[in-house]
Amino acid sequence: MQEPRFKFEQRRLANRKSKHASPLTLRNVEKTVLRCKFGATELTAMRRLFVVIVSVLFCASSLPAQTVVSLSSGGTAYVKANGLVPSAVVFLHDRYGLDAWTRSLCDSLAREGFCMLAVDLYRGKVPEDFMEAHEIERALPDAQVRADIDAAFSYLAKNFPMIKKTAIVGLGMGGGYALETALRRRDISAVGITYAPIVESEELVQKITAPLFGSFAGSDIGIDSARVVKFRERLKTLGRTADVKIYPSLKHDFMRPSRENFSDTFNGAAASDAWRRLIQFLSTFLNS
Amino acid sequence: MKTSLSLFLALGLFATTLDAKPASKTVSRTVTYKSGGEDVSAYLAMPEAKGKYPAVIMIHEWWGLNDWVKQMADALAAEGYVVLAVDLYRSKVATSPQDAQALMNGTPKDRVATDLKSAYAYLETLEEAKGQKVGSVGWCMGGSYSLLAARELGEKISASVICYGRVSQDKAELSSVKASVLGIFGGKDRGIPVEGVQAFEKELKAAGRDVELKIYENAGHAFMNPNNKAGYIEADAKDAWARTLAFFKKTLKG
Repeated sequence: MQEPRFKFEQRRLANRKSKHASPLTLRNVEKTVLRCKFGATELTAMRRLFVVIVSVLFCASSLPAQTVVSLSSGGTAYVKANGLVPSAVVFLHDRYGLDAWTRSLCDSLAREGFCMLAVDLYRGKVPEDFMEAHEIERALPDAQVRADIDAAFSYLAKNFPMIKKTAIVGLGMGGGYALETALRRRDISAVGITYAPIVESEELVQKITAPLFGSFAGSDIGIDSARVVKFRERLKTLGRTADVKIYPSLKHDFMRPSRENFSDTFNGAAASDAWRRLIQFLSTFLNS
Repeated sequence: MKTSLSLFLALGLFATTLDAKPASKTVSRTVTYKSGGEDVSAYLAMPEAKGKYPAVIMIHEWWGLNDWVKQMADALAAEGYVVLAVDLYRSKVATSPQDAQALMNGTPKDRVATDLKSAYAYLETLEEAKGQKVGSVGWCMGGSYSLLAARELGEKISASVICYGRVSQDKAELSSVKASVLGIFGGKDRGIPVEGVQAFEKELKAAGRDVELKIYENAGHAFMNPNNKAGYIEADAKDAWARTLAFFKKTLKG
């Protein structure tokens, strides 16, 4: 069998192996460890104490694990972290806002061991149809976006001092902002963009120093594949690290599950390939 | 009958003379020029009569440089302007909102800034527009870029019309704007709150700019485009266009 590459695969394997052993529950631990050493009265007292300690630990660890936090810019962000990890990802949603699907992507990356912070660029608005998404997107003030993203980095520095490396990742509209951020901030260890606008002027391409991940749709009317190929070649010529893949004959938004009144260009095979590549990329450049 | 007809004719003549310059015949063509090393094309419209005219850079909506934008360029040219309707999408025109959105999303912002500067440079090469004042106008995405033109080109842009486009409340961003600004917005726009527009006005005024705002209370997004069947409001669209013409007359011809 192939070695598991991702943490979720490793977990699945571990779960499968442990099926026949006795489950690791509070009761079993008591049975095997405690019962052999103590009498019944001490055991009841210890059991109570144990339960209290476990609940306190559980509460303490779950508090910062998944929550919506306020940023110093006046915006908010969705934070998800499984434990005290050394690397973080600032995640920027596409034009449909920070919705349940976007949060689920963050949860997935959190399971891979990254501290996730998804900035709510729409500041609480989740569009209810395609046109509302358009109206909000085309009106989003650039300075506010920059302030919210910068505040996200400040939040990480203040609340997760153990973090050593941070990547910025975005889809569609968010990918454009992710690349812009990577051009103006020096503290970014990796940048990931998915069907997002690239930069074309030589001056800006040269400014991309962080390893870059990109997934593009071959039939995206707005992002010309030939230009993406040129972009990839220029990065290569400059000696930059880049994993840029174009998925042939797909359209913009191919990662987002199709939904009435929204996008309908989802492609499962490409979406899962792009997602696996992203996890691999982040693991390589954040955890090395 | 005869008297009423002559009265009607006289009134007609009077109405025409009220406009300083009656709408004139126009000529138009597709032109090509360099922008950031690439050949780009644009739609150029101007009065048929030879002369010097102020110029306007016109910027399309998320659909691209389509027939409606070209009609608007012709209509503005008829009022005595050299109008250059740029094509930020390199000849691509969307007919579905999905494609329009993908085009809008995919267009590199640095390329847009380069295109706008190149459009100005091209206008300067035209005998009809050389040395004349230059303005900018755009709708929706183009409205945002009309403001970007004013930011990127500074004092070279004398007047900027933003029809329901992204505005800014950032002092630093607005500091390079030297143009007079006309902002046209819909009160029911789901993306641009009225307070945001007012804050924009306040910042520009604090910087000493002339700002004129018109918010059409019952209008939503894209109310000036008759192809927007759900949202077009004829009366507001006509009023907004009349304001645009009056504004350009004051700022570019005054």
